[in-house]
Amino acid sequence: MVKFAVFIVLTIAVAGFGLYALFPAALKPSPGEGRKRWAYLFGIVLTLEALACPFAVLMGWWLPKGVSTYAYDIDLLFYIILVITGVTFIAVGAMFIYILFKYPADPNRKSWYTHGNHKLEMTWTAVPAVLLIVLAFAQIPAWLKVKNLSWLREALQAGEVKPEARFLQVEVTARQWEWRMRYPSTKHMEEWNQDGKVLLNDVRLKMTPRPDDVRRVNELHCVKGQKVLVHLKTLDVIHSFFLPHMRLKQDALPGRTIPVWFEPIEANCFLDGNDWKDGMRLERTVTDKDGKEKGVWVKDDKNIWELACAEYCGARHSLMRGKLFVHDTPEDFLAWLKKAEAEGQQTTVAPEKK
Amino acid sequence: MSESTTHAVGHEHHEMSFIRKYIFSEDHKIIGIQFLFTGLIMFLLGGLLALGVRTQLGWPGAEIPILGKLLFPGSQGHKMGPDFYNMLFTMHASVMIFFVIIPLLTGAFGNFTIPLMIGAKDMAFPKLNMLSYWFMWPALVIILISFTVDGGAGASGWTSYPTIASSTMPSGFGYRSPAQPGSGIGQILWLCSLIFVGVSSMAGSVNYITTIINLRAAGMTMFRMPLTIWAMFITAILQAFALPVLTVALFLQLLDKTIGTTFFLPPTGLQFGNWTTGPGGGQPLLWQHLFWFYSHPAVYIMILPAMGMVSDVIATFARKPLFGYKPMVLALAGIAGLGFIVWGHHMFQSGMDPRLGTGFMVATIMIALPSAVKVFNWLGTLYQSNIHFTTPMLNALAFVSMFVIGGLSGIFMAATPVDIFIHDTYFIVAHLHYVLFMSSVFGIFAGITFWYPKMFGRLMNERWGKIHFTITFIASNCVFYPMHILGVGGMPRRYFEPGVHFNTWEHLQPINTFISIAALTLGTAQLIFFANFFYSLFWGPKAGRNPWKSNTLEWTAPSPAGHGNFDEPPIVFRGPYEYSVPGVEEDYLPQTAPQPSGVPVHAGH
Repeated sequence: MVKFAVFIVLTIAVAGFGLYALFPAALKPSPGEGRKRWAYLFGIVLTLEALACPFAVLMGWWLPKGVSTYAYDIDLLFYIILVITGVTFIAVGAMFIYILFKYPADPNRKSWYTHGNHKLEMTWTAVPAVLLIVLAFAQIPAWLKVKNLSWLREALQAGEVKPEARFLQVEVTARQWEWRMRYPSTKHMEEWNQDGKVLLNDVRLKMTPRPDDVRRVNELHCVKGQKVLVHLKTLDVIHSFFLPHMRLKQDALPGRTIPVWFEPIEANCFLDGNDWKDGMRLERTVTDKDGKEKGVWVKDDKNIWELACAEYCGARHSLMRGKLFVHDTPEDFLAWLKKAEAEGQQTTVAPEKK
Repeated sequence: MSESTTHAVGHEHHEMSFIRKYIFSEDHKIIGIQFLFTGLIMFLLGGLLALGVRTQLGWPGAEIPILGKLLFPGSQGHKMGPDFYNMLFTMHASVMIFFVIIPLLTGAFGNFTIPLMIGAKDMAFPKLNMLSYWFMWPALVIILISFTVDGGAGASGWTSYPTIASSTMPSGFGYRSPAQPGSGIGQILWLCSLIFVGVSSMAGSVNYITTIINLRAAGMTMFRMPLTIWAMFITAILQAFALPVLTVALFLQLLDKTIGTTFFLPPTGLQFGNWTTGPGGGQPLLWQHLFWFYSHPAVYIMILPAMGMVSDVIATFARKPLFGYKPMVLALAGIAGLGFIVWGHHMFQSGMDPRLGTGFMVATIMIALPSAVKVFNWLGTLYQSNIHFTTPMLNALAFVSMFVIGGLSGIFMAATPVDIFIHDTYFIVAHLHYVLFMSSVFGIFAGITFWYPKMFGRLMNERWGKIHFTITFIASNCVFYPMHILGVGGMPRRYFEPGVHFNTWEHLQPINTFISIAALTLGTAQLIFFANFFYSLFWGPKAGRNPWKSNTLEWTAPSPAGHGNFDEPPIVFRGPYEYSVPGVEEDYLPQTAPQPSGVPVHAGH
């Protein structure tokens, strides 16, 4: 709040000074004095905009923490584009401001009579063209990695998954205005662990509902270092499954089940007494007297990871908030699942639509 | 001036009644001015809707003084509810796009400038032209009525995606929508209104194409046309080819909503709370393809005319020939051509096949190329020129500098992996406003202040024009630039309370408040423009034929030009941008001036 107050005061000061400096001048129509005032106006505004970017980083108004395996790829591309567009903006802006300072109307000077320059046109067409094509093709690997699920296609083609590559499947069904999650039961998980073929079969059948499924609302649980395959559905209108910290967004389309995946690289919850508490960060692990390793968790607001709806879906669109719990180990996840199974009867869920 | 022409012109004037002359007029200038007034009034309405949106976003849950008591029932504590908010942002976009920017750019400026700048007496089809304006009226009336109907005006976003927009209750429940109140009758009226706007635009674009091809003055070859006309020509082609697709889509959704067809209802049906729809036979995604097949070209319909106008304004006030005339024309055509094959970039996260997304991405990123060429050529024009900082020129310069930002931010969203994160966040809101407000609207301001003397025979006040420009320029940057930051933070758009319920975005709420303060300033500043506009209509200083010493044909006609435009049919000797020709005493050389002897002047092709 203090930082913000400083920001507001600075902004008002700059804007006030700008207006003070410009207005008396703007009111005078004389061409001589204050010829450069408009260059100053454009110069100040464009410079402030160029500076706003580092300022936002400084204030922490920036990308949320990226905690999935592909968050790095996406952020890297973001920064590459930011640098390219930033340099272009500064270069073009500087040229523009320079021209405004240099060439206000002067009765003693005649404009340069020229209709263009073929070589120049070719250069400033060809150079950006090459740059843009390279930039466009540089996007393709990351895009296909996130959205095309090549790892899953390969596994389906091979017909099996190695034990260490076993992944979790969850069905997420959006509706106005909540997220309904359907998890496998512990028994179901065991079947997956014993035989990768069962796991793949469930991928093909999009996790056909079973009586022992575990259902939760607005709570997405998964395990650090394990891929999660989400079968995304919606009952009513289009919603969008948005996990900002995982850098994942996918619309849910009525009538379709869309597969999406992510793999968290950090955990954010631990068992605090009886409850799983999120918004925690594993600071270090210590070995206690019995030789058992134990994590030391600290509270960290940056580790509150949320699930938001990103496609406009009606009155309570901005209240469609889910929470993401990333467990540290598969055992932790199983412990949670067992508890959820026991609570299962208490969770009220409308019957599945066939 | 020949006696007979003067007589003929004067004669026509006398015979026309007030209604024929100013209301059901077939004169392109009057129709242009009619579009201008309609657009400006709707601009006020759209702006008010935006201020409503900003009030909620800046101070979520706050009681709005005075207005809150009038608009919102006590049961809500005189506070804005989410349904009202959803209606506000939906109607803000719909009004601004379909009733302000498109009618102003193509309707007002297209009508006004085309015959004057190519040296024609009027449009090719004056009656069709009149019809094109009057088809706006049913649209206007319907959209205004929709605010008063049960459930309020459309609230499904200006994109009106099924199934939130298209789903219906079973028969017996009237036209109510199960998804939300605003998707009932309000949505049906929204669809009807847009169909009328479509007819209006289509009539206009056919007329523009025909007029530009057939009615050019003697010597006015295609490559001697001002860029404004090139832009209008290309825009009209875009409209003629893209609009039918939107019209079809609107009719399909209208059928879905009224007689229960299922073009956008999936085979699985839908489940709203306790009841289910029957199975459908269509796809919600179909709408998105049809809608964006029009609405992406529409983005260029909303920027190309402004680009053309700004090119003319810049050449005039820089007193320098436009740098790279032909590359500029090619760039316009390039943007329009690519504009047809990039609609899928609105749908990267929609569930469309990701491999198709890569194709759309490459095409989209390439659009930056002709856009860059245009910016470089504007800079080339300004280089070593004599810049006269008049109000139209300042607005044109704002267009150029702000279009740079709008263009560059587009690359982030075109890049599919980055788009995964910033899609449907405030980043896109920032981007689209940098294009549609900071570019198109500054282009419109430049156009209005530039052609005002030709429209009304009087000049607008320069001093207040500059004050309006300065406040608008600073305030609009304060409104839209910080939205980039919100978007990088991941804040989703169309949220009722974006900075409230999510831990991820709580710390960004102060930025929202800042934006809202700036937005209120921005909105208030527009009153200066309106005051200046209406004051100058009556008390502005009289303008001569050519107050800006510009080259193009309209400045050889009287201000305001009478019916038939020119005293005698103009003959064109060269291109429109021969400023500061060495050896010519004046720093401009109108297109109609005969070639000066002994001076090599670029004649154009």
